[in-house]
Amino acid sequence: MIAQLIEGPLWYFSLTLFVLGVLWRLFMILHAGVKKDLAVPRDGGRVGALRAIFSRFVPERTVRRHGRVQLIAGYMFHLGLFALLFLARPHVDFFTERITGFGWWSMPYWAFIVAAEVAFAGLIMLWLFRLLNPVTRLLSSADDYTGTVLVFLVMLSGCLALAQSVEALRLLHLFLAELLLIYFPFSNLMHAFTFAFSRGYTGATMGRKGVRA
Amino acid sequence: MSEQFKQGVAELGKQIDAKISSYFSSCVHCGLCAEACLFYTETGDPRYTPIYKLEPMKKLWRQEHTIRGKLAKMLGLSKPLQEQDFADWEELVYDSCTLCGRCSMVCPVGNDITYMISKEREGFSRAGYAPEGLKGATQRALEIGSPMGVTLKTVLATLAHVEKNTGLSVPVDQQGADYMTLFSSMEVVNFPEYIESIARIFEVAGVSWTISSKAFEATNSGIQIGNSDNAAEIVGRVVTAAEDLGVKYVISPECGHAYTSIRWAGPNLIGRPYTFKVIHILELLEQLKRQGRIKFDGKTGEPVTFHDPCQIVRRGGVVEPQRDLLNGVAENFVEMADHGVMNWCCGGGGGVSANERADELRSKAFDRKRKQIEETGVDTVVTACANCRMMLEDGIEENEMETTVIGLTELIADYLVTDAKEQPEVR
Amino acid sequence: MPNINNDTQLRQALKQLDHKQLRETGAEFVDSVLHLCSDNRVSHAVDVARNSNASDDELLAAYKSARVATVDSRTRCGADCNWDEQAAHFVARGSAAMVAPEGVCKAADPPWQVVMSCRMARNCALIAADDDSINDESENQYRIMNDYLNP
Repeated sequence: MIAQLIEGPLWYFSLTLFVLGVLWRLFMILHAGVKKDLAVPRDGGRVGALRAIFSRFVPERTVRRHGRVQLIAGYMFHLGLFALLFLARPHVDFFTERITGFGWWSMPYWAFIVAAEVAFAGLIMLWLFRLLNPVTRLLSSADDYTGTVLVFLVMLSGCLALAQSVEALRLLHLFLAELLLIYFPFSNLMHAFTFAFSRGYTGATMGRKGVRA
Repeated sequence: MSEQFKQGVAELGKQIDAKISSYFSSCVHCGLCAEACLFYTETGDPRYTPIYKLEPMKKLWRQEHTIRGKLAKMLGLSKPLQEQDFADWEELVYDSCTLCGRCSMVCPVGNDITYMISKEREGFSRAGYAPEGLKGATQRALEIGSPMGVTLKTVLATLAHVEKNTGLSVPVDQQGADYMTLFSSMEVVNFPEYIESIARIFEVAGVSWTISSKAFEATNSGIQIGNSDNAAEIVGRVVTAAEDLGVKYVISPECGHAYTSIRWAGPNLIGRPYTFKVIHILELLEQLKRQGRIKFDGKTGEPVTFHDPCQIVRRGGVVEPQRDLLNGVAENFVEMADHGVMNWCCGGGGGVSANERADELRSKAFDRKRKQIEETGVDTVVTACANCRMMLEDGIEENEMETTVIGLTELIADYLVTDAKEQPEVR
Repeated sequence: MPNINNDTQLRQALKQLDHKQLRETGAEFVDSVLHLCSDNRVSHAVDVARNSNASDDELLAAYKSARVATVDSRTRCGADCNWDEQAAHFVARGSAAMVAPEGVCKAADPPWQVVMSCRMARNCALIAADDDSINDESENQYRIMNDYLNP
């Protein structure tokens, strides 16, 4: 019965809440509005916005040295997670069956292991950094730690499920993923979507001034 | 909770637009912004992390713009903002932020933290939580027309002195002149040689210019304290004067915040575009050089470096003209390692230099600039902002450095060819 | 030597002087406005500048002290300007340029800094006194230079 709940209603509930919640959060951001800039621009705002969305993936030179732990660990975690989420065979099959109706290339098993280890290492480094660095320790809230723990548990349960091929572990993994989906719109995990808006806004403002954001 | 505080909170709420909302949603508390902020790097105090200065605004945003926050507020799980929040954060918002914009350049999710702090100041200033020095400056700007109490009479007296020294006349209220120039009070009071320099340059270049007796002040304390109504009043005077005189351009002088106020914030403050263009003095000088209307008589052989004023360069977009001009009068221009849009702040912008309470912190923050200057191995720093100049000189004296600071416009004027027969000279 | 009666001639005359002579003429320029400044560091700088036997160390110490006096006396950004204090500030600024060691910041033209600072000091004093008289410090400086060159 629990299995049916997890595979059925809870899955639909969590997915719906995730989609509606994310859309609602984005709507609330856009609804707050931005006043039109009446100053004569020196350069294009749209070009600046687009440029910044991509250029901010490259860390700014002057913070690369002091911020290298956050930067390296951050990229390890995000790239590893991206690979796990979208290119791991079980996920590709899951998405095909439940969401998209079509599949795509998935990475070989050895690559999955590498991606998982890189993602785990990155996440743990970030977690430790958050706890030990005075700046991040001051800034961090329960939201930051909750999100970290949830993602960690989802990743851990997923790796165990794949390794052990035990149905209970697979269900646990799905259940934790559903919890994460429910938590997502209420947390700063929303940065996964809103970062593009933030970079775009700033890129546009700076672009109009002729400064590369 | 006083009525004034409630108004401050209401104003803070009004400032939360899509940008602010997006920025708070995107922040993952990575702490990278701290590495860009001289107040953090020179003190090691995590409270000076730029995004941390926004906690009061974040609290309000969460309660009013997020599902969880609204729910928490409804259930009594989160408290509304208290006066103590503002009292506790006032120093972070005003003393440890010069609005320099470096944090906005490095945030991985693209947050313009400087913009956010400017907006937060709107709430703080309305609530009465702003430094006394800034309040006084703004009051004087509104009542007298200058934050430093400079009246038209004193400006005219200074212009008379300039006219006597140069043998040139400084046009006042010249209808239909091409350019109307502004001065910052700091230039009139501490660096009047700037005025003399532009009089000489404009004479040689044949620039049709004037000042306005109704609005000569370039600085905008309203922007620094974070009060858009005051800022609009101050910039409105300049706009009215310029439009009355029918000028094509308004020249923003060597003052950082003056430029961002009149060039970028102004039209949005008054709610309409201008009928004239705004040009920074450095842009104009570079243009005149390119057009061959000013030529230089030799170059200084002394190695020089350049301090980029934040509001002109990083927040203003005037990056290359000063370099082109300096290369025209200096044989050996050595860039600081972090230069251009990533140069470090002098520590005095954003109203910090007008805030006596912040002196000690500003002094510590100057260490960053000291290291920058020492790394160049050069003893002469050129800059193009009167406030930066003051801050650099203060810091240089306090640290017993051998460095001298020069204003770029004065350096240009010193090497100006005024007679075709003059031979090149190296000093 | 022909009489100096404009800035072009004054600049040319200053260019002909050696470092010691620049200090001596600078001292005369500053002395003419010294009554506008009560800072001992500034009057001490004038004394050192006038002392033909002053050692390099004494000159350097006077320079550093005058620079600090300059920064100490300046009206801070956003503060209500007191024009009497500003006059004193410019006297201090002139005195620092007066004893600047040889070769220090030639790009800032220290001898001309002395001239201009003294004029600005006089200007500030006139503003403080709400006096509409013309600032004739430049004429005073031409006279000082003429007297120095033609003793």
